[in-house]
Amino acid sequence: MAISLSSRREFLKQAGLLTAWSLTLPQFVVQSRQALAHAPIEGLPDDRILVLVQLAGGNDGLNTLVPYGDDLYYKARPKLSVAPQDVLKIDDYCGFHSEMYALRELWEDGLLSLIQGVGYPNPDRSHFRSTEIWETGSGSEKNIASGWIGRYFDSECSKAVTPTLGVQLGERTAQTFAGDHPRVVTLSNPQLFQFSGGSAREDELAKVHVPSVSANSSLAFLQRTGNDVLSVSRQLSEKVRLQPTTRDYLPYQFSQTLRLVAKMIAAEVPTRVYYVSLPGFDHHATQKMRHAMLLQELSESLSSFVRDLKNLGHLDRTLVVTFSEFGRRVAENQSEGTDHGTANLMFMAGGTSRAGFHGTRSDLSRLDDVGDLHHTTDFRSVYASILKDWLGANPAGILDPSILPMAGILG
Amino acid sequence: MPRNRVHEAQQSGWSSLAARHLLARTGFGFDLEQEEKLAVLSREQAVDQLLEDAQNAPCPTPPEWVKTPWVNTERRYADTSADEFRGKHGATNGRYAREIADLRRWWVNEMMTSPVPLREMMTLFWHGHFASSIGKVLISQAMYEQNATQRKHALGNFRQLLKAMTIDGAMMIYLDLEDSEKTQPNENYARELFELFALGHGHYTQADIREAARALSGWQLNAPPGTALPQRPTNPADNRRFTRDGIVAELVVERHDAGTKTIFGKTGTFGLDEVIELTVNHPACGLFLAEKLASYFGLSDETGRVQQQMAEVFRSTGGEIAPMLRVLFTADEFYTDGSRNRLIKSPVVLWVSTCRQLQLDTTFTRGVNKYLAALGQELFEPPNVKGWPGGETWISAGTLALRYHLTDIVLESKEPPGMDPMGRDRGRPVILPKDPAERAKFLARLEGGMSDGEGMMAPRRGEREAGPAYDVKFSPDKLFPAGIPDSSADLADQLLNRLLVDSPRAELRATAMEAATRNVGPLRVQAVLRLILSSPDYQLT
Repeated sequence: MAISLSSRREFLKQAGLLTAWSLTLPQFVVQSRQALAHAPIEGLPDDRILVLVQLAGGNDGLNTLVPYGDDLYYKARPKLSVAPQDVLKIDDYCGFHSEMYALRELWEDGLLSLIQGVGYPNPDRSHFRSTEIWETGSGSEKNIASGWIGRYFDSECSKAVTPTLGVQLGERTAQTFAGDHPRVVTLSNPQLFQFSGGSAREDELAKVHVPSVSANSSLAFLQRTGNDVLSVSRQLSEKVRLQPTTRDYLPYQFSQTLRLVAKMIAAEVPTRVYYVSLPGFDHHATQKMRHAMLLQELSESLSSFVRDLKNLGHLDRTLVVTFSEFGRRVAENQSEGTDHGTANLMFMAGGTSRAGFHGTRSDLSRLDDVGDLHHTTDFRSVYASILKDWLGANPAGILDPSILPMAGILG
Repeated sequence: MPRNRVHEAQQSGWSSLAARHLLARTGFGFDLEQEEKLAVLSREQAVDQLLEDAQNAPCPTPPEWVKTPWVNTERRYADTSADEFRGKHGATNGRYAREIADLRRWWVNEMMTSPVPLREMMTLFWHGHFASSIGKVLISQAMYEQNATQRKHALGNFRQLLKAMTIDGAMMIYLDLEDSEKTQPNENYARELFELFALGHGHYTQADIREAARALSGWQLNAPPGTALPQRPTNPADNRRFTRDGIVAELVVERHDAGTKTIFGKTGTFGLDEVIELTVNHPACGLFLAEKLASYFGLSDETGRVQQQMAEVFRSTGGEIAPMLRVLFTADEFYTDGSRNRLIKSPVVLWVSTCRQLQLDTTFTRGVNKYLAALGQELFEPPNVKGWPGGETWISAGTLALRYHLTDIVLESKEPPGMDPMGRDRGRPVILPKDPAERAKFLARLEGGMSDGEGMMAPRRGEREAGPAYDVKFSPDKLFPAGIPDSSADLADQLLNRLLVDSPRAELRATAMEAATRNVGPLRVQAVLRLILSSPDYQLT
């Protein structure tokens, strides 16, 4: 929705005149006035960004980072294992899955970090519940409704002036963002913010959103949010749409979604946390080909995204983190698939992440009573480190205070 | 609409607008005919009539696929071959997906057509209160049974409802009660029973939870008594989903902890019935429920007088729900300016009330479900055990933008823009060649001329549900049987009167008149509706 010059002038005039309005003055107006490069979101200490990438369904960590130097791996997976000669070797023990050459290059260029053995005590093997545990950042014994980022927004970003503090790419908002005052925009596609009908339509929408002198606080809230809609609409249709990217992205959803995120970051949309999801990892049967395809998509997409941000000059302020609700059972099942497991690996790139291995790999000779890996790093300590070392927040106010940040993953 | 009707309402406490407010809050929107009928009664008579109708109406016929008794066809035996299992597993999941889609259609159609919408509003309340998600429960029949039980007790007795919910199949799966046995009582259900279902935080201790979990141990889901089951051994390593025979709760004595427990300071060899009694008799229960109901129906009463009175009625009637609602709907506080026209419509209320108020000729389709899910309320899939928090949490810039596209569905029966992701869906699994030149050729073949850049709409993979994504017919004639008014003011006023619960703001009315004036013929109605439905005002009830 392109806005006419006259209505923009009108808009700014109203913005200047009405104090009630200026409380919710769209950030892009402020930014276009100040014309700052990488301006931090008003009310936040810096211009840093977190991009969370969910691998939904439970990614098979053992076939992602393959322990090819361990006989136990081949014993447990007579059909599903990646042959030693196919593994893209990192060291004498492990290497990437054969289709992950793009991420291997990222690794070789010192742009990737791997956190091994990540999980939590008393693991839950339900997708639903384990996803909830990861999204809320709670222990498995507790039901918490708010998400770990939602609590971060509530406790640390109360002064941030932007309706797009969080951006969820996808059809529904992840529980990660749930909080008392969520300021999250969920969109699958920026077309959501296109309103057909030309300037007459824009004008009438603007008219019914002029804040009214009313004691009805709900109406005032809706009018403010309606103005956010109009400002996000302008932002997406102008700056983001025209923003060039520098890398090829695969034509598929996940990749194209990451491309949109790269454009939003480069266009300096005032957003602190993005959330993108790659679904389909739940391979109980005939896993080999489908998992290889997903790993290729993950590898190529992340690599394009990271290198694009680097070229665009935004990688230093963007931390990318992947997670999945659980790994898979060590032993393959009867259907050439794997069942729900426990500990897993996380990827990190960009920002101040330290390239290389972190944490301790889970021991294949010491499995739990179901045949699953024991975790060596609590995912909440990774969260605590992200909160403290990347977002400059106090993790004790957001996560269980007994959880200490994982050392060494972020510089 | 004449301003004096508002004043009239404030003075006498009862008027057409007050009747409209009552109808809109207790049902899904209002219609002018009903409004007139209620307006001639007294407030108390009107409320009593709504409550009686909702309590006495017969329950709707279940969807066709519902089976009584239900036996788990996905049961897996030790001698089930991998191939047999794979085929059956896929087929069952497909069937569950179709059935849950049909269950949503069935329920929303009930909301749209029911002559007693209050009962469906209350069923929706309990659906969010005793939240369970198909995402974990997986079995469509269990979700239907939970819904039917919530409808049966919707305006009945809370004690009976709470007991029925505790041993409801879907709930037992959702909050793990079926896994709770005496050596390792699972506290998940007991905790939520106190915190979310009956008392609220701070009215119990961790010891109460632990003891209640012991008292509730031993319940399992099984086939109904007398069902013939195949005598084949199950594999003990398989998860519950594949080993449970049915979804009827049964107390397995060997798994139940029959010992002495102390809950809320009282001691005994408690089981299910005693836990329910102790919970409902807890002094916090009535007020907890009263506050949740008052908030759901949009009462604004900072003194808490109405909620206190509701709690007293709860206590004196032994947990009856209808008398609590009577207190709420007849209270002066329910009709003050502070309580009116400021409840944000939930996505389901937004959709159903729009269908009812515009008399749309429509049925609930997968497209509408997708729309409601994107607005944050997919039925049978609440975000978590707390249900939908409601209020301002319904609204963000993204969901409000989507609400403003409502007329795409209503007037054109088409999908709002931006609901599908960027890029293409992957079809069958293919691994792309590593060599860049080979890959480019491969992709070109695969994509066949797909353009790069913005607005690249992916053709969606075939969905499990057949039929059109949207099926909506809007007929202006139904709203204007005597013909569409020529005057822009009349047209705008009549549509505003039909759609808003309160007199319109001057700005909205003026803009609506301009929209009518700017257009000609039938487009006038559409233009005014497009404006009203994408106004902040229309989000309120």
